[in-house]
Amino acid sequence: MRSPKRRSSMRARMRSALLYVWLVAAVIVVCFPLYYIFEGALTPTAWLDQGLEGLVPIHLTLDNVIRATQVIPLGRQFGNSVVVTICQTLLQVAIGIATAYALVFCRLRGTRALFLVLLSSMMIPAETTLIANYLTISSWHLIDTVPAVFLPFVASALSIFLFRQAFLSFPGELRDAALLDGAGHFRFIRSMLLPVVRPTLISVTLVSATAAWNGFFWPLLVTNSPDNRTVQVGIAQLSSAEATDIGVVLAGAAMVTLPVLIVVLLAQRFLAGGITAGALK
Amino acid sequence: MSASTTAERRVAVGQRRAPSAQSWLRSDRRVGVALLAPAFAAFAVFVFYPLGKVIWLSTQGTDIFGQAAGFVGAKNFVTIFTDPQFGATMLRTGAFCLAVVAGRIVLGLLITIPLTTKLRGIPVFRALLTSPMVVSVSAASVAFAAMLAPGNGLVNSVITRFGGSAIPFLTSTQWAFASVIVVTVWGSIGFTVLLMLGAFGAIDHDVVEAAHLDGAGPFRTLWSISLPLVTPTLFFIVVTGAVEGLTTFGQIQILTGGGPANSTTTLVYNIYQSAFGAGSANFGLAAALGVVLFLLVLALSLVQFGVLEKRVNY
Repeated sequence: MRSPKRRSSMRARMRSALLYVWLVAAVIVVCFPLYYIFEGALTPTAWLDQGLEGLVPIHLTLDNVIRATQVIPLGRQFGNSVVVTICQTLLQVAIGIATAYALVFCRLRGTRALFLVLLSSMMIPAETTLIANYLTISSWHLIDTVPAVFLPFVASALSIFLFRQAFLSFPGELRDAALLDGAGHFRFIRSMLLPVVRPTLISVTLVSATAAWNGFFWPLLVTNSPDNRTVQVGIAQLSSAEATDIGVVLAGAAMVTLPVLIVVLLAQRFLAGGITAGALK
Repeated sequence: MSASTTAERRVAVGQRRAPSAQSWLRSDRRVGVALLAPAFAAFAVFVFYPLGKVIWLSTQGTDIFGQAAGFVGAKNFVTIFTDPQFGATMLRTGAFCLAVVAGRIVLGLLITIPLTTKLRGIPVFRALLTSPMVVSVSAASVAFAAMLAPGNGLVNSVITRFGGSAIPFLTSTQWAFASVIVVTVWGSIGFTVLLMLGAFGAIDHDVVEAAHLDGAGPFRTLWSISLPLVTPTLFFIVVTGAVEGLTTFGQIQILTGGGPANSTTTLVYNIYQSAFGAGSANFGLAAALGVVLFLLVLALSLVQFGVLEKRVNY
């Protein structure tokens, strides 16, 4: 009676051992580049050039980071990226809330059609429109400025969509009651609506901010001088200018990755929620 | 009792509202229109107008300063479609999309399925295996460029250490394309695993339990129960993977610059080269390529909406 049970528990144990081996192997492969970025950023290039030995972090130094900032104005570019990220995120969130509020609560006619127009913009790839957007930005004499980097992205269909989803679950009568009791639209949004949809607010903010921070193609097009580049473009140029100095290149990669890593560690569940919600459209 | 008080209150509210209901509604609408204005202005200026402008540009010739120089009809499209280079670029773009989609689905499932078991320490594995999400295209590309460098790159120094000969990962026509694919798949694997985890997590435990009680083993359960239930998400990953493949730029720009000998030039990289590449400012040609890209993405989006609509309906 007992032996088949024991055999099956043996098999279960074997299976979980195999799964662990598989998962550890997956972690090594998947996480290695991330490890290399941070280890390499803090390791002298001469040691990294040793190959396998260079992967052992025993010569830690901030030298690479300092030299990276001497090759390109990394500090300045970091600041540009921060400005772009803050402006783009704030505008996407504010416009997202305003638009979704109007669509859901303001009893406008034809909101369904308007919403479909907004959704249809998601089918137009930015890589198609960027030629015309470049000409627009150029005709406004904004080429090689920081506003040029975020101006085309002040409104995001995804953020409107996510706020609309969240607002739809808010009882409309409650909103009418609040407004009848003398609350203004802004006051209602701030003190009743947003607290209720807080998870959406946080995840939209995080998704917008990450996308703004990580932008590459458009910032590359509309900026020229090193002082106006964003940090993502900066590290790409660092990589081609100092290709043989691996430590310096990885220091650049580490500097752009660290802020996102910190935010994700602090708010992983919200980020996951936002991305999955976007997927279910 | 309580029902009547609610009713009374409702009447009271109705009376209070009655005189002003009309004007209240009107003011509500005015506010609504004002709130819609910024979004629609932004989309008009930076999405819909540019689309129209690109379609218009695609019918224009281009002078040596890159300015539109008169209507040429379908000439740009004829130029594109009769150019053997373009055919090769489209085939390459298709192969790239297929490889990225296959890589995301296969590796994603191989990583995600073990993560859905009830082993100890799974949350740690989940966090680690979704972590590539934090790395931008630019950072991933420069890190891989460092790893795959011909001389002192990590991978080649390990290969030569063990007696192999160095592989020109980024500088040979045989390897460069594969290298760009690997970097692209790696960059999207965290996001893919996250999406798949969400889908597998949403499966009703009772269904899986019932399959177990009926004697289905873990593989049978996976194949006949779990996988069919996550197909909508797999489909979403296929479509977004294809769109991602179509629009890939950063990896190509940083790792290979479209070369060597155009072996990594895809449709979007071709747009960039035509419009902004050294010595070229052919916006007409680039716009025609942009229209081709738009039609491809549009087709993929319509397929996706169509399929999801069907799923919602049954």
